[in-house]
Amino acid sequence: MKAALPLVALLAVFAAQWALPVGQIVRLQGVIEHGTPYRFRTAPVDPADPFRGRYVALRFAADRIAVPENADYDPDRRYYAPIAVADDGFAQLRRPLPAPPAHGDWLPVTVSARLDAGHVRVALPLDRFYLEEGLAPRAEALLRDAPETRAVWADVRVRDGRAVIAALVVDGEPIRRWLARRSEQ
Amino acid sequence: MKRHARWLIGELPELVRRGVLDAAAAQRMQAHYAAGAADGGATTRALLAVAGALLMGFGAVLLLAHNWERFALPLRVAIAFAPLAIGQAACLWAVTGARGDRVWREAAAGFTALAFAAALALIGRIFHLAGDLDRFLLVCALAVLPLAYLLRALTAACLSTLALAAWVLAAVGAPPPLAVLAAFAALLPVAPLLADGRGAPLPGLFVMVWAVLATGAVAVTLGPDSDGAAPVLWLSQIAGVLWLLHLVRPGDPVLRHLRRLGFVTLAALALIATFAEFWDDRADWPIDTAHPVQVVVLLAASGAALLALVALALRRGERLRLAPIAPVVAVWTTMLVAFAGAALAVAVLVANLFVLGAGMVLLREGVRGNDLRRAHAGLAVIAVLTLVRFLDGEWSFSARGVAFLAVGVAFLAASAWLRRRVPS
Repeated sequence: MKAALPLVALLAVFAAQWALPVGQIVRLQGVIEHGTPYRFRTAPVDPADPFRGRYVALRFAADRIAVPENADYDPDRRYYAPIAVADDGFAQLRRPLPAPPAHGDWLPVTVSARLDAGHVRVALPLDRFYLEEGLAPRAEALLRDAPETRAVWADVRVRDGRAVIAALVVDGEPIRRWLARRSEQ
Repeated sequence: MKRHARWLIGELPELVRRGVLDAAAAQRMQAHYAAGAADGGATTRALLAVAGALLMGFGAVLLLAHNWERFALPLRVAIAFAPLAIGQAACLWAVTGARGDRVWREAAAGFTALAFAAALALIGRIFHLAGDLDRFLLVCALAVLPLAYLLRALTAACLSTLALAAWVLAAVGAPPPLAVLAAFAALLPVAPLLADGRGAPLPGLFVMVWAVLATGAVAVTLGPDSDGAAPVLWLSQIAGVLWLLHLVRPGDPVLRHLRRLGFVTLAALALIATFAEFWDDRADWPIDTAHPVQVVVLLAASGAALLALVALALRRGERLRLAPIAPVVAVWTTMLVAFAGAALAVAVLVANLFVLGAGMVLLREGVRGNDLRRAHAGLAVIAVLTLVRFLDGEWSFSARGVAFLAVGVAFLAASAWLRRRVPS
């Protein structure tokens, strides 16, 4: 029995090593399948992650939030921004709250800067879309060219404060298809 | 050592032929030194296996993390987990089939650690998760830590320690210093488990890596952007503790390594403190961090440990051993002087005088004791101090070039004079 203890402990460690990523997959897949879809208007740039590879970094228009003039936010604290949909169909974030709202979807945010008396900039739990090594720099180069003429947004699924980017869309097309079409032209 | 043992074994037949040794003595010597010589091969084998496993692990991370969007989601998930499954199977084999063979243990633990990190990174990629490098590194460190204990593997212990240190560096806003220390402390008890019974210095090697990374990581958490007084006070006090710790267990090989580490750190601190820019960043006093109480607790604890060791040295009459901890006293004094509003130029002057004095004492001791190595060390200290002074001066490059040449010539001349005067 005593000799078997290290083996049992090793198996328990292995189980924990599987449980962590598998649990993450289950939670995130649940968000994709059952989450509420939103469109977040965005502008991409192209950096790389040393561990995960090349991606298109995203800067969302929704990260600029209108707040009351006297509102005070702690930059080291997490807040909860309710999601609303504007008349143009794109998602907007409302004033960050100290606790998640009782109704509706929300995203956890941290207040990264006060832009002016009536606005703050927040850091969202969405900041990147991974692409193949060759595609990401090409996408960035093409999107940088005349950005004002293109509509770029992320299809995001949100559930219980978790958000997953389902697709990055350029001019109404998923970015891979858009890039493929550009290559053919 | 192993190389010498192999050379000696090779010489034995010739020594027997010449009559220096009889055959029985040669046989006994061969038996005595053969085990040590053979261990060299085992260590090389272990190192190669570990290097191979780590390279395979890194290769897996790179290959899988790039250019795989064409695969369907289930296949991507399967690919993400495959290296982890292989690594865990190898760990099981190392414990059961290979009966705890060191090469298997080290290689399997290293590969599994990297495979876990790869699986986590690939899931982040599949779901386009936001960049949270600090959390990723902390999770990896904690998930790999048990492997170090259960497989008694230096690779896993070092990878976990490295990941913890990287977590502290990558963290947005310094983590609480005591939490960082506790995380590192969870790894230290693995050191005695790494001994393999053949005398390989694995526990000492790990303790050195641990001491460097843990001390540095805690220092990072003690001040805003590692500036301010607290990180320097912490580093100097811990370096003093490492220097004197061998007094508790004289002759302990691990503590002997730590003594060297403490000395090198103290010497480096003393030299760095001779730059005026160093003191400009240290005037943030009182402590300006999010966890001031923890900073005070850590400084008080390390200070108390150092004082206890100083008292022990004094009780044993080993006053000379206290000389290298002078920078600790100098740093404290200067911080208090700075706090009192006095000019930091005093601190720079004190630091320069201390290093110059240390060099002169070494040189004098070397000449008096006919110890050429020590005399050269003293000369080197004075030469380095002279050279670094030119770095923060406002001289032109031509003037500095001439000055460097002059110092070099003086150094060579003094060295030649020493060689004539002190027998090597």
